[in-house]
Amino acid sequence: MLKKEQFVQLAQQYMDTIFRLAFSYLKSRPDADDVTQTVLLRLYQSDKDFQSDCHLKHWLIRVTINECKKYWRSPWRRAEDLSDYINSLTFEGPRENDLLEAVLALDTKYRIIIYLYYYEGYTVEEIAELLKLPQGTVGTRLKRARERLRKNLSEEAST
Amino acid sequence: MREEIRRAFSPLHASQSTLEEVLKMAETKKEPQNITPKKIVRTVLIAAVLTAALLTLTAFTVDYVLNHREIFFFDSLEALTQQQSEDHPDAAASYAVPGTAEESKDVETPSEYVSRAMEQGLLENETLLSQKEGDYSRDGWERQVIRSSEDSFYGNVVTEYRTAGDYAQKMVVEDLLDWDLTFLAEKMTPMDGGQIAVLCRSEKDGQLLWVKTHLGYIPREGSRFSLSYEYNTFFDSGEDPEYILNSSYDRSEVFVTQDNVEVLIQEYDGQIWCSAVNRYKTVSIYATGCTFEEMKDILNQLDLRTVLI
Repeated sequence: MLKKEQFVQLAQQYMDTIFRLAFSYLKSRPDADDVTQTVLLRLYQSDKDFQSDCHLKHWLIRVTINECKKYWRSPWRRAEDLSDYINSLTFEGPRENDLLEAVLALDTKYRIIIYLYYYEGYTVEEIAELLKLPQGTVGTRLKRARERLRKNLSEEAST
Repeated sequence: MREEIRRAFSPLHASQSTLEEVLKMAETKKEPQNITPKKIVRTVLIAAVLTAALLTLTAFTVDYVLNHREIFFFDSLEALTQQQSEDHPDAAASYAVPGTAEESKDVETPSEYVSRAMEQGLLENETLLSQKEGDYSRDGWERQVIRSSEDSFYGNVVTEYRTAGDYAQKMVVEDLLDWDLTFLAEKMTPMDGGQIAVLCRSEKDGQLLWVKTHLGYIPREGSRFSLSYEYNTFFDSGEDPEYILNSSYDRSEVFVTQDNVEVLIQEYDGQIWCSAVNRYKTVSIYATGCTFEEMKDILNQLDLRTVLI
């Protein structure tokens, strides 16, 4: 188990990463908060020996994805108005607000890849390993996700 | 695009209380409380673990309807949250919102669940001490893995993982369960590698602490049927009521089976969820490609009363 000071530092470093990934998956702030707490608790209580920051982050992402999948197993999830939450956030400009909504409007399988590829900067190969998918599948989903994003954003602009 | 997406996601932050909550949980060894009905019931019994007398509790008559859970239906969110606030003033309001059928395709399948369980175990706070292959071959169950662990919640335990060969014919747990499952395999195709039974016992005295079974089937091409049974001596799943917002589902109903067991059935976007609870035992089902009436027919044949008593 980590020492408290070590854990606090790591939690502060990674909690937003976990939250953003969980939110991308679940599209619910309360559910994403719960998953974040679960994953951080597992980190605190883990006796895993992480070889590097990269290894630790990789582990956190895998655990987060597994926790989100477990969450989806039952319908027992809380609801919160997604647009209320997004409207409460402070963006640099209106385009970022539209872009976040457009990403969240994608299917889960595309949202996660967009987040991991563009926000976390993982390669297709790394994403395939994280999601336990063939590289070809990841590549295809990324391509389709980009096409749908462009379509969603251009439809938004024309309304 | 990369920079734009980074800016779009940057305002998303975990709640400020997250770290504080986690540190509190670590001290008290609790899990996140403010969510699903299943997770809300994480109150540790201060009294001793169930005795054999409780395990063999039987009804005086089969005429009474078996259920240990209140279920409330609401037409408005206001009415639901008001009721919840009155019942649980310290908890955050919560109610069920199902995912769409498309989204549910990303849910772990029974065979993925089995692979994960056999590889990593199911205990969340486990320190594995040893693991060995066992030799179990009866009633359709074959492979067995036995893990000896130290778990921060359950203490020192021995957990036995059984997977089915072709399919599970019967689920037998001494003094607890003798469940004939053959009719399901006759009705649907058992999912390849998608059936598991897990039994967790105290290493100290062999006391059965919890049981989980997860059985996957394929009713027809492209559809799914998952049946789960859970028994846990620490958690009374009937303690907390279910609060259901009618508009969240296409259809919700409390169905009473032919053997007088109350089952909550809910349908949304071609998916059906069922749950039946009796104190420390729960049976739940998730299915796609199945009608409400077909599900009732299956529930009537599952012998739920024997399983849940």
